[in-house]
Amino acid sequence: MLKVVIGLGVMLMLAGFGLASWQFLQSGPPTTATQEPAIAAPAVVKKAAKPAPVTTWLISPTGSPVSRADLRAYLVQDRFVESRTVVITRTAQLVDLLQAGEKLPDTAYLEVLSDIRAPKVAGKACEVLLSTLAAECAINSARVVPGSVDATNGKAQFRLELVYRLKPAETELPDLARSALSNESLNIVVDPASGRADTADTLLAAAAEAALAACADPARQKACRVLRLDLIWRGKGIGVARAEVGWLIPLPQGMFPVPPLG
Amino acid sequence: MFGAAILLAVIAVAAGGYAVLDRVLPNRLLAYMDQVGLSSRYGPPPTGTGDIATDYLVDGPDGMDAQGPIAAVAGNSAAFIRDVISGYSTRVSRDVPAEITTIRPILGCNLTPPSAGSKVGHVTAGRSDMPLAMATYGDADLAAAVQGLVNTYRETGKLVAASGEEISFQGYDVAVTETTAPVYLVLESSDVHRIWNIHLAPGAQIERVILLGGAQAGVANLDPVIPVEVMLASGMEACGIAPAYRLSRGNALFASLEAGTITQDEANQTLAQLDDAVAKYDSWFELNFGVPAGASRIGWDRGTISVVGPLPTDGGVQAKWAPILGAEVRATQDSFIEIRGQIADGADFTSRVTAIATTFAAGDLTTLRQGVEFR
Repeated sequence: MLKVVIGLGVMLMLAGFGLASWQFLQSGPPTTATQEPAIAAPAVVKKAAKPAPVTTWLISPTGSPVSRADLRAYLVQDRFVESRTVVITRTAQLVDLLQAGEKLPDTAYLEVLSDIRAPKVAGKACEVLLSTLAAECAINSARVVPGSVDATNGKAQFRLELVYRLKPAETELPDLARSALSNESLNIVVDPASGRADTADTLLAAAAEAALAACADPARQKACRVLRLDLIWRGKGIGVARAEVGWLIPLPQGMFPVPPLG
Repeated sequence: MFGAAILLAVIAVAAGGYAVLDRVLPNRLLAYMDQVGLSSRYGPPPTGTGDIATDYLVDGPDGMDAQGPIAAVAGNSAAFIRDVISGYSTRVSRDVPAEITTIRPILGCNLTPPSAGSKVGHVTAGRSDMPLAMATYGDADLAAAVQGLVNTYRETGKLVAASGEEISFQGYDVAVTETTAPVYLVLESSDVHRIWNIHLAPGAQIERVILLGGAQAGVANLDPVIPVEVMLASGMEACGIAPAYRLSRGNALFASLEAGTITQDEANQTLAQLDDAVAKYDSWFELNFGVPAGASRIGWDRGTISVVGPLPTDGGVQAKWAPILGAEVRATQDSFIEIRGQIADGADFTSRVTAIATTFAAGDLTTLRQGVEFR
């Protein structure tokens, strides 16, 4: 009887320690394998090229350091970065989400259907960017705006976020150590009568061209780049856009840049 | 052989907690384990020695929380469950009723008042952590679950369909020990799917049952001739009725005030608004049932059982626990009802969610994935 009790105790200890070890191993930092998505990424997910070393800081004309987001949006052109985006908030007809022969589901499902098929709304947005200012473009996210489904009129609002790389500049960047990064946010007004706000894509083209035109202005002296575009399109002829551009200016006389501490 | 069985049990408990035992051990054995303190449902008493029932009642940031084998009794005080009901068990997750009859919420806002001479028992139930083997759901639940699947996949890259826990009915026990007059029960639930399981003491009579609140609601082990009237949370809202009760001292609001997170003015403003809501609800409740809601309430924000009537120590009679297993249930339903273990392959909630998501994704769920990989 004593042997049975001792044996049982030993077995329990072995099981307990074994389990504890197993749990300890399970609670460790996740391996690369466990971080992999369960299902392979679709074509929309693009991997960037090998990163090149970049300048890690710049100052603004007032002497304050440029934010990391603006710095990356401006300088890092060999790959996509989170802060260089085109955000399009637009209305779309729900029937445009359907495939041939499909009908819209019950009202309860309209929002989730719209969310799942939101990338379809992005349509030719990337083509428009590629034809104007981008060397590469991808849809980072396409979602329905929660609560925006108008079942009565069969419409919904969508928020599309594109990321892009600019076409290579014709001239090289000046010496960054002797430059400051200036930026400006521009409201782009599109005349509804021009037909350039008839669709979200034409509005995007108009905004991209307006941003490029702003960069071509001699007032924005050197290496002007389009950092961001934001569009809201609510239907034929109803749309507004804003562009943010950045360019370099020579450091003012007497100003000497000092790298930020740390 | 016996040693191996114990070893397996120990490994199972260590790996999955006591919930593993819930799935394999008979209910009677589990109920016994509850009583002798072997289960994880009840831990040691949060205060005191555990000799008195209120040692297990915690006034926490989320309200009054029963953290032991205690029942809510008149005055919203506590008594040990073993003193008010015999054979009690919270192990009901596998119990399948014998019959489910569909009932409908009332039309309009007027409920049948209690008769003269009857006693009103007002029970409130918050979180009970007693999921039953029954669930009901509709298109809105399915759509929300599909959206949840999409969001999870886009955030984590993992396809995880909702298990449907939120559509399961949650049980709550009501022990009726009042035997001196018929009892008019007003059972008021938080916004979940609720089944009220009624346990009568010998001689107890129910006049009528009113089910207030909840997304769906039903009652088990009630004589089929006793009328049941239902006003779900949606119906109450449509009638402009918003249940409201005063906060207990342990509520997060008072803690925030003491910590300086909110100012005295902000707290006063919130409390004044709550006072108005409480007065309004008390007034409606008294008009319909003859007693104010706050003063008559028996039930906490978390717990499993309330007692309507005197304690056995005060001349009452102990109620007898009645299982859901084999019981007659009357409940409201959404478009679909599901009994665990009795659903065809592919027709359960999770399968429906996956099927809808797949259809909306044009047959390829991988198209749900979004996002550029930044470096």
